[in-house]
Amino acid sequence: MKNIKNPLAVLEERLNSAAQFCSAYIKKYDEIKLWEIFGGVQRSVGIQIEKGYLKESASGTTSALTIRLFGEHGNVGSASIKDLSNPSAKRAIEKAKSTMKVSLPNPEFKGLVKPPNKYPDIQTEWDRDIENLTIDDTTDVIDRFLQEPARDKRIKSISGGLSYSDGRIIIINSNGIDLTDKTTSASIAIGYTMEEIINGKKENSSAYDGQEFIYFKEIHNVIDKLFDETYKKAERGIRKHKIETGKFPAVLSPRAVDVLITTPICSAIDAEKVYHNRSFLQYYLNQKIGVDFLTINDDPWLKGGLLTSPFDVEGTPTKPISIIKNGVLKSFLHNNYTANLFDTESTGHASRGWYSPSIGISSSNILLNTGDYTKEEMISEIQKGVYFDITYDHANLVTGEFSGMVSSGFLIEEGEIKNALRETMFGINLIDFFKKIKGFSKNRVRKESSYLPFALISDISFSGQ
Amino acid sequence: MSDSGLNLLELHVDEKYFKKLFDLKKEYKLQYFNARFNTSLSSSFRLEKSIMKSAHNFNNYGFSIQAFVDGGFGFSTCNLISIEELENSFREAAKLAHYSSRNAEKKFDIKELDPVKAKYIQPQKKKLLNISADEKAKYILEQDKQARNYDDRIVNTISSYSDTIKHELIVTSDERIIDLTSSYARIMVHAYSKEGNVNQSSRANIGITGGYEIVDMGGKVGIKAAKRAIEILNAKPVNAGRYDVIVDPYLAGTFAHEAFGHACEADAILANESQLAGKINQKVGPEFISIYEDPDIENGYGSIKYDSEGIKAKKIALIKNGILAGYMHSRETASKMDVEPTGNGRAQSFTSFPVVRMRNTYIEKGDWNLEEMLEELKNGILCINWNYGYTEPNIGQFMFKMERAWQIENGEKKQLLRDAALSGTMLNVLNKIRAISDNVMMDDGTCGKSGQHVPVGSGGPYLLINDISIGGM
Repeated sequence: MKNIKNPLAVLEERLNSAAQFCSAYIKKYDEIKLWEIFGGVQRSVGIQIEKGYLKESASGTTSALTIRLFGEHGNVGSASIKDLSNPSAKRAIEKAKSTMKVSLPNPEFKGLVKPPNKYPDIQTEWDRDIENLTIDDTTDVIDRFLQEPARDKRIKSISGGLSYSDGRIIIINSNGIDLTDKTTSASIAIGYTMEEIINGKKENSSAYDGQEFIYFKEIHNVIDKLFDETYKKAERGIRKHKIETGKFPAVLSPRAVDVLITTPICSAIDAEKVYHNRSFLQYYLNQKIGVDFLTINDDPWLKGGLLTSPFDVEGTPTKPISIIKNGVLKSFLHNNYTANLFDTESTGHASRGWYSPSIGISSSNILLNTGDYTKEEMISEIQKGVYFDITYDHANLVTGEFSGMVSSGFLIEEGEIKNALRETMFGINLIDFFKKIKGFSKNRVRKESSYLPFALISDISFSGQ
Repeated sequence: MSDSGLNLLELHVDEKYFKKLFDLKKEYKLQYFNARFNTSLSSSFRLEKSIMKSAHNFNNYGFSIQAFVDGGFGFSTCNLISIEELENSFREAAKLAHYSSRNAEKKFDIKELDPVKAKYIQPQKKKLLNISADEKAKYILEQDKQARNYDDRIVNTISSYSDTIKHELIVTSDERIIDLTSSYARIMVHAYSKEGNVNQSSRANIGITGGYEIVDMGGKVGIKAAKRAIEILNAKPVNAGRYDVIVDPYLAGTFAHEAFGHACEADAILANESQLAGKINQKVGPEFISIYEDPDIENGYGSIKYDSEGIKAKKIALIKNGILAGYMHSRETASKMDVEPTGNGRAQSFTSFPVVRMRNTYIEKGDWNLEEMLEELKNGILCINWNYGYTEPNIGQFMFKMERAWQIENGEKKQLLRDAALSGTMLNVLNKIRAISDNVMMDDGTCGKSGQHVPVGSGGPYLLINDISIGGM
């Protein structure tokens, strides 16, 4: 039998070889003052479920190498290739070099990351099982999807899917950074559509949820709960109610806490946005922006965290930081570029897309502090209000204003969750809103790389009828 | 780009590859396959405050195989094009198709079509390959500077230029061999304004299929963005509530695309995830409403000649005179519903499988003019442009965040408003349209679905709509 080599291992060899070729070739040119090579290879498998049946299975290997070159005045030129051959790599360098020459000077650019004395003694976690996982190993998870329509005849459709991937990255720069890392991920997404005839009229509802992990086995740990909770939301959403326009207290689910609290804060403390007047938190460093018990930490060393890593995508060592402590904004997030702009050190929060030439900034594992409430106690405190489960809108980070639609939410009456809300809009000013948090729940729920409690809010403006 | 650019757009896929594909189909007992070979060249420039943050070139390269048997699809991609890799990927796709078919909904076949061999090259009035990086960089710098210099209250600008030339060879098992060269370009300027404690932002953009003629078509993109960002500094938050409104052509287009178009995609119909399932030939709106899906608008950002499945794209009516007239189809949905495919099977790139997607979607014009509509509205809100929007087709609920709005009193503009969001359910709102203006304007955008993003166009006339929910601060 023909011995077939692991396709990812083959690609990894090609990636290393192309990166070595590039670093040697670039050195021929004196006009290139600094350079960086960022590459990756990935094998991914995805299975798509539609209407309760398996529709499509997909797999693929992909590779990419991005070369960034800098001239004497910070002028940048870059190029990306997919095929990793030496002729392609050579063409990419020539192309990047010619673009660098016509690019504009960048007085803000002060250099690339230099190797640190030491990286933190933590390892990026990855799942060895995913390396050898075949599609046949996913059968029990797929069966769970296929069985689900039998749960309730009002289920019109189950959609979603399962995917997993296994990848390698490489970062090399002209200052001596030379790093490689392994990553794995496994994710599941579930969507229900339900329908019932109520008083002669068809009423529909839908609910979606999902989770992403490092280890495939973690899907098995959550799958039943994820199906049950998503089903319950869809089931409860069939009977809808319009709320009158006004201000009402609200309980936020952890994913609403993510969209309304942690994501706007973590996005607005991106130092590039701050520097360029694109953040409503621009003038709030070391200022109070929320209630005393609002504390948010960013921990790239968290054991088992989805974004745990000893270094960021530029090669800067990571470290845990306090974002908000007792309601006071303690830090902006920096990559190497913004750290130079602010004359400070990078916080190790550089991020980038798969083969993007642009280095962005994003948080790592986010932990919001817990409180004294149980979810049930929060709900029981409310005579009339809203259980706010999710909105698909996002805040205006420039103004700090956030208006949109409650995509999934429920009326609370006399301390109990009742019908789903129909066509309900909301509007908040985030700085006011952070001061209206009355408490957090004792328990936290993991949503991707964030660990979030339920939150009780004194009032939010809703508009309905 | 020079000759090397032309060379990089060559695919070197010949009869040897075709023969191998058909041999493999037999070997793996497939009913259908779609092989897509691709090479593309992109260039992009991004400036912030006239500092060049990125000047990038990208050569995407590879192929994918979509295999089908007994109701199940398998899909595999690779970044190298060779006979050996073709065999490997085909084997993988075939294996996955057989795996999928074991748990597929029903055993159906992809309807076989007549063989066709066609070649199409997107016309470019100014060929992108003849334009130097220097010229593109200088152009976008000029737009950025114009935005920055428009007013002292402009505190930041982000400007970008991007273009792509893509050469794709599509080979299907029913011998449809389509050789396509398409080209796109897009320009976008974001302007950020500040006065006292008030921060605002606005954008202007243009996206086309074609070439570097985009710079002649776009006008002063930077100034447009800056002007809007300054205007909106005086805007006040809208009071949430229910209003009679007029939406402008760009928001009308967003309604046509987000709220209605997605619900007309046949995959949503088949998955029981659309309110429009089973409603063909039924009245869904007032008789003066017609909505079309047109892939052949000159320079339209969503214009295509053939879709990613080798089907010639054709114009279709979604609503004609208030009656639901048709759905958009891929080869899969057309086969399942026993109709002709419409050329809506689009993939973001060769690494994604084709799904039902829109091209250019618009509402047909009516016979009112805007002044008459404002008079008819009397008191309400004139909603201008969109920031983003989304919909849930299964319940028909949508939300569009508008860029700005005017409070209208006695038919006249009174106060500029900001941070307003418009929401409703699709069929309900469609039936509340009272008047349609006599002009159609199109906009460019990027539509996300199934994790894929494709360029689309959307547009329409001004629409007068009664009693709609507006969310605000």
